Amino acid sequence: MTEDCPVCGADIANNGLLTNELIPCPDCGSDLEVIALSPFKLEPAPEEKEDWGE
Amino acid sequence: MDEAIELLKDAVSIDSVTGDTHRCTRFLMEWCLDKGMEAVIDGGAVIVNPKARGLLLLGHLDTVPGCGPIMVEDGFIKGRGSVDAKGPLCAALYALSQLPEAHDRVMLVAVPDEEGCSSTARRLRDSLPQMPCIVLEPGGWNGITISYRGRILADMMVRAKRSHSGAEGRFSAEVAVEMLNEVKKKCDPRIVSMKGDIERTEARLDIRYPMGSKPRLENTSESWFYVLEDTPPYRADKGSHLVRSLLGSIRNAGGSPSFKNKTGTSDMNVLGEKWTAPIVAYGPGDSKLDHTDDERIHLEEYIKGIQVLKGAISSSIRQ
Repeated sequence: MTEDCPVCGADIANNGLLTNELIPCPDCGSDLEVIALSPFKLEPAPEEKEDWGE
Repeated sequence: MDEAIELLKDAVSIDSVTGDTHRCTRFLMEWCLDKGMEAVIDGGAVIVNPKARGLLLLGHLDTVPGCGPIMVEDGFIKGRGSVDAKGPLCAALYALSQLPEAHDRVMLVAVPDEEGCSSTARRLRDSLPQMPCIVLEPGGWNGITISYRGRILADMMVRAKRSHSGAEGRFSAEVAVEMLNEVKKKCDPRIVSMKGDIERTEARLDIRYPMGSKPRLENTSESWFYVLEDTPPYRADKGSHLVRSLLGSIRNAGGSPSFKNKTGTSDMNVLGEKWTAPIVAYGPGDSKLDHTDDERIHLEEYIKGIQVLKGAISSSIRQ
C-alpha cells in the first residue's frame, strides 16, 4: 500500500508504519505524520512553534 | 467533570509558594488516597503509585508568589498556579484516577521546588530507574512541548581603579556596559539586577539559549563571571511512542496538534540531562500567563487536557 507525499508527491510505502508515527519523506525530506492506516493517509507533520514560558 | 474542576479549584485556593507547600502536599495526597490510589509524601513531594515503573508523570505543586485570591468567572479559574502548573498537575491526577488499570504502571510525582532549585527532580533523576516521562507543564491542550532552552544564571563582577571623572580611565559601570555589549553579541541576556559604584559593578544575568548555541562567558583582566546555575537545553525525540500517543490522543479529542519549543526551562531539562528514556512535556493552559497577575485557565481547556492525558496514558502503557 502506498500514498503520495502531500508535499512533493513521491510514492511512500506503508512498511509496518503505525498511526501517528512521524516519518521523513524519502524524496523531499519533509516530516510527515501517518494519519490513518486503512486507507493509508499521510499529512505534513504538525509545525513547530516557539512559545514563551515553562 | 465536576470532581475534576473541584480538584483544581481546591488546589489553586491553597497557597503553595516554593518553601511553604506542605498544606497543598497534604491536600493532594489525601485526594489521591480518597480516590483509591496509593500515595505517600517523600521529601515534600507527593508520590502516587510509588511502585509503578512503566511511565512517570512529573508535575510540580509549588508556585511563584501569588496574584490575589482564586476567582471563578466567565468559565475561567483565575489564581496563582492555575496554569503553572496546578492545571496540568490536577488534569493528570484526575486522568490517572480514572484509569485504575494504569495504577500499577504509572507513577505520578508532584515536586515542591520546581520554581526553586529543582532539587527534588534531581534526586528523582538520580534515584529512580529510567522510564518514559511526561513532564506536566502548560503548552495548551493541543500542544506538545518538545524542547526547552538551556539557562545560565551568572553574576558579572567588574572592578576598575578609582579615578577622577575628569581624568583618564574608566569607571566600573562603563566597563560593565562594554562587557554586557560583548555578551549581547553572543546571546540575549536578561539583566536581573545591577548595582555598584565607581570601583565595582555587579550584574546578575539570566541567559536562555537554544540547543547548540551555548554562549561562552569570557573573563577579562577587569571582569569575571560566576556561574550560579548552568542547566543544559533539552530536545525530545519526536519519534518516541510518547509523542505518538499524545498526537493520537489530541486528534481523537478533535484537536490539531502542534509542537512547542519553549524559551523557558523546566524539570524536563533536569531529567533530560541524564536520562535517555523518552521525555516530553504536556499540559493544558496558556504558558504566556505563567507568573503573571492574569494567570488563569479556561475550564474547557482543562477538561480537554484531561481527555488528552487519559488517552495518552492508556495508549503509552499499551506500547
